[in-house]
Amino acid sequence: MKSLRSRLLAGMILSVALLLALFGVAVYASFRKALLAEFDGALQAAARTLAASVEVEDDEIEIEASHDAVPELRDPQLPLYFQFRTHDGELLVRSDALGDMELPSFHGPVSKPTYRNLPIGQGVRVRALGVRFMPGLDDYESLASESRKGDPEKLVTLVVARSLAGLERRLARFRWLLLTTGAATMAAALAVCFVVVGRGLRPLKALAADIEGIHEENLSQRVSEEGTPAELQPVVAKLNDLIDRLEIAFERERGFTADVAHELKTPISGLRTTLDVALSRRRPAKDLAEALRDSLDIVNLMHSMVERLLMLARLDAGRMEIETRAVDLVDIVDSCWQPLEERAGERRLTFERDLPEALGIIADPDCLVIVFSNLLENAVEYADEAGRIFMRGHRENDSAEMVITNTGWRLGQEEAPRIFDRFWRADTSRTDTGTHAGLGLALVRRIVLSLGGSIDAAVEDEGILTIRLSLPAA
Amino acid sequence: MRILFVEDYEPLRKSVAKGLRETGFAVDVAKDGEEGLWMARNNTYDVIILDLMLPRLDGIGVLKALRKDKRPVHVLILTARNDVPDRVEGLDAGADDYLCKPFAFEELLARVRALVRRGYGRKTPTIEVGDLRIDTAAQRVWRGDREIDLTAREYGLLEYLALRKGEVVSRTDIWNHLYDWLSSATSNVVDVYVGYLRKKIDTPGEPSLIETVRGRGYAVGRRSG
Repeated sequence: MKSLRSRLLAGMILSVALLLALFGVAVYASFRKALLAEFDGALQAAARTLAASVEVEDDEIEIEASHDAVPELRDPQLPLYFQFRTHDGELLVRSDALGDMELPSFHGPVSKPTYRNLPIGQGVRVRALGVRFMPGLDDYESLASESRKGDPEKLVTLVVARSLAGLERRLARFRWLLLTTGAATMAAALAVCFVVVGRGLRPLKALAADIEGIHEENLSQRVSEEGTPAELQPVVAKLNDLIDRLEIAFERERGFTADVAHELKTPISGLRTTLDVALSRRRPAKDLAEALRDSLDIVNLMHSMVERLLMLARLDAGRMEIETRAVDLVDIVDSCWQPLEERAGERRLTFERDLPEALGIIADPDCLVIVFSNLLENAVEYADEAGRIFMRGHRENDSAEMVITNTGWRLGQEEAPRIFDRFWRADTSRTDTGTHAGLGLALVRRIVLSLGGSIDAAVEDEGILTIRLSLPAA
Repeated sequence: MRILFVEDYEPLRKSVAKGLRETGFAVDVAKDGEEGLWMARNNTYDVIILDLMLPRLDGIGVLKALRKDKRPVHVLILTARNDVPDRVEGLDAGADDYLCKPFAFEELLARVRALVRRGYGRKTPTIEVGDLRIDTAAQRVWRGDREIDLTAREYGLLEYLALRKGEVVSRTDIWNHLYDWLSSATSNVVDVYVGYLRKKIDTPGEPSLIETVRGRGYAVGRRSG
């Protein structure tokens, strides 16, 4: 069974049925016992009366058993059967009601008469009481109270019986009553359980409906904790936690997509307008060539941006193949600085470095080129005119610790770590949107993390951006 | 007509300015919000084309500052942000039009022309002065059935005078509206161009369409309406 409701219902119904059955059996047993006790009492009373009618005169036993002596004898519906025998089994007297039916002879002592249920023929089942007593006493009670000494020859056996039909009818009626009330109770219990389980499961339904209502478009919604039963509260809390995280992830994704769209729209509009204007009238080939060159520059820029985005996506997904080996830091820095020298010269920047000979780094060389190119390019671009870029490095245990600083940081301390955010731009006098899409440093951080290193940025001295970088040393 | 284009993305700034100049507009460019605001405050523009995401001062900031100054210049926002809330914010800040990047240059031109017309209280793109007819959309000019071929600058001068039909327009006004900030020309080039224009549009033996108002400037359509 998969349904919680049917499982609960089955459990509850089974327990109710079991309880009812146990209860019914117990009630029936005690009722039967009480009926039997009553029946036996009546038999004993009859036996006492009959016994009292036995008289001994001159060693002769006389029995005056009559209808008057035993009033029950008068009831034709419930005839009383009895018979007296001597100790050696000779029949003394038997009731008329017996007709051709036979009562077997059996007995117990007066203090503990024997009872038996037995058929006596003609389909009559009786319960019989057998007792052996010493006649001649007025009171059966006193017989019962003491064991008689006397002539055992004089002992008389009395068997009194009465049909069980009445008792059995009453028991049958009672059984029927128990069964019908039991069935009715079961039906009622089923109905109540159904409703109760339904109600009990309502919070689950509500929860399901709540969850159903939450999808990608409305992640700001939460599962309502109000009125949630205690058992579900941890579930709801966890769910809301999960939705929180999902919402943040989706927001970030959406923001990122919007940023990508915006960053691509700008160069596309530049490209489109350049081509639109170029084609708007007849022009000499020289003019057209210039427009084409401009277009090519824009396309190259877009290409590099898309490349960076792809690389970030691959790194994020862990699908980028990174082959690490020992790389010499000085070599890498040299090769990364070379293409920047001209631009640094234009801006009259100085680049000083303090790197030890032969400091090896365990990394993918291509990745390292991206890291240092971007870091140095960033420094060249953001340093103030005639500013200073400084790089130093040393080995510390198993890692290579490097610091790159540049002057000209105009923003606050708290803005510094944001330089690694995707599409983040310092809102400075930098002229051209599009030359840097704000992806370079994001890529740097992503790569450094993938290489098992760490990187952070801070403003340690006024106006100087300090980037600290740590990578595994060879 | 004189236009200010505020845009931080250099390739776009360059090509839009080029396209506008070729169409006969005088164009100034600014590469950030502060520069744009300074230019707008110190010059007379018919239309300002404004990017929103600008360094130093963003487009909305520039726009609000201009509206606070009560400058009547028409502003067209040109931006990559094209969500409805962005458009609403831009227009509510006092922009007259909104165009999203990437855009078709022709559409930008048409919108700029529409804003220019609005600036001079005109609804139709055609202006008539006597039997002279100017189609400002196609930038073509006819005198009767004869089409007159004008250079961009000559056309600009004629259009400006025609837009202010019935008024006397000073040389400074003309100069302010036809020459950009970097232009080394002085206001007497106006007289030179009026001369060129008269040669092309006037019928020999008749009074010139462009009337010289001594000591004040030039006017068209004062006599004939």
